[in-house]
Amino acid sequence: MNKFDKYLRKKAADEHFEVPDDVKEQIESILMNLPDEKENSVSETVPAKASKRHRFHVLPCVAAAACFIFITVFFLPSVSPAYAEVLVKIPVIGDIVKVVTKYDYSYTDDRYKMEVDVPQIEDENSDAAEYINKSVEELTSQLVEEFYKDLEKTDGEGYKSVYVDYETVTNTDKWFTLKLSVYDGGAGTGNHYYRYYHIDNRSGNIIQLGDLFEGDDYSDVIAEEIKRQMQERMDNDEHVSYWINGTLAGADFVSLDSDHNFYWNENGELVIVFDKYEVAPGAMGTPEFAIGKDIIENIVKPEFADIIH
Amino acid sequence: MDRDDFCGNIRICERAMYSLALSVLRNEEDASDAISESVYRAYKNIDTLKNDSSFKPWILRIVHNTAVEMIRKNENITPVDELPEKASWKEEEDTVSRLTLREAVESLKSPYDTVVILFYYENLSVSKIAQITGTNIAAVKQQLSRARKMLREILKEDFS
Repeated sequence: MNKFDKYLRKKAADEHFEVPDDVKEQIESILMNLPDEKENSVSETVPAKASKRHRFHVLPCVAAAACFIFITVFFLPSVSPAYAEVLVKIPVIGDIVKVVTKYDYSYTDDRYKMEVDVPQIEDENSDAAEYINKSVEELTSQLVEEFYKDLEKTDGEGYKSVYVDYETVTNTDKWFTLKLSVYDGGAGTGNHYYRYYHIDNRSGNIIQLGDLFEGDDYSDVIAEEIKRQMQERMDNDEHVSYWINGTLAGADFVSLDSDHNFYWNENGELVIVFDKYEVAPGAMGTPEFAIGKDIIENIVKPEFADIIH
Repeated sequence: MDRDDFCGNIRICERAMYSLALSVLRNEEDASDAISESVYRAYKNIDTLKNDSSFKPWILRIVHNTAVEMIRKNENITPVDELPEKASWKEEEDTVSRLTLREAVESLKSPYDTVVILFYYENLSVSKIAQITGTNIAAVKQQLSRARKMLREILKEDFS
C-alpha cells in the first residue's frame, strides 16, 4: 500500500482545489464584522445578514426558545481522543437543575456505529449531582472503551452499535430525574436499557426506589401489582408475553431491588421500568408499569406523599 | 491571539474548513453556514485555545462538531446516512481513469471521505484527525485503511 499511498499524496498535492467565491465572501463578511473586543460584544450567534439562509442555523432556534445560550468551546489536544470533551454546552435556562452534554463520542463506518452523549448535571455544590455525574461517566466510558476494544480486536470486521442518549424526565422545584438510554448491540440483536437518576430537590439527596418507602414490603406490594397488570395485558392481547407464573424455566422474574428503575409520570404515578429481556422476550422492549396511587399511598414515606398527590 | 491574528488564521484554514464541512454535510450552502457558525464560536472562545500553533486542528474540530450538530438538530438537513448514493463510479467505468482524486474521494461514504481529506489533502496526522473527528487513533487508521482499499479500486486504471 506504500506505493499507492505515495500515489494518493502526489495526486492530492497536484490537484488544485479552491473554495467557491461565494463561500469566501461569506467568510470575509463574518470576519469583517467581528468586534475588536469579543468579550463585550460578540454575538452568541451568526447575525442574520451574514447568512444567506436562516433555516440552517441551529442556535438561533435554540436562542428563541431558551432566551439565552451560552456556548463553551473546548479542545483538549493532549488527552486521549476517546475522551475528547464535547464542543458545545447548552444549558437550558429556566430549568431548576441544568444538564449539559459534557462528552460526545461518535464513530461510524459500515460495521461499527457509536453515538454516545454523556450528560452532566451542572451544580458544583451538589454532592448528589457529583455522584450522578461520576456514575454516568463511568458507565459511558466503559461502553466507549469496550466499543473501541471490539473494533481493534476484530480488525473492524465485526459488528457493533452503541447508542447512549439522555433525557430530563422531571425537573421541578421538588424533584429531578435524569434518564439515560443505552443501546449496546452486536450483529442482529442488542441490549436496550435505561438508567434513572433522581434527586429530591428539597433535601438535595439522591433517591432510589427503596428510599421512597417505609420498610421492605414495598417490593412485594409493587411486584404483585405488576404481575396483575402483566396478566391483564396478556389476557387482552395474545401477542403480549411476560415471564410470570413460571412460564420461563419455572422462575418468577418480577423482582424489585431497592435501586430498581422508576420515574414519576405526569399523573404523579410511580412508573416501574424493566430492562429488555428482564421480564419478557426481547420483542416486548423495555416494559413499563404505572403503579396506582392507591397501591402505594399507605407505604410511601410521609416526605414523599405530596409527590403522588 | 488578537482579532487580526484570528482572521489571518481563519483565512489560512478556510480551504480545510470548507473541505471538512462539505464532506460531512455534502452541500455547499450547508457547509458555508457551518463555517460561519464555527468562526463565531471559535472567536468567542478563542481563550480556550492554549497553543496558537494548534489553531488548525482546533478550528477543524469546531467545524466538524458544528456540522455534525447541524445534521442532528436540523431536520431540514438530510442526515448523511440517508443520502442517496452519489453517482456511482462503477456506472462510468470507461471514464474511471479520468477521475480526479477529489472526485473519487467524494464518491466515498462518510466518514471515509472525511478522513481522506484530512489525511491526504490537509496532511494532518492520524492523532490530529482522531481529535478533530472525536474518535481514536485505531478508528482513524481503520477508516483510512478501508478508504484506501476503496480508492484503489476506483482509481485502479489510473494507478496501474
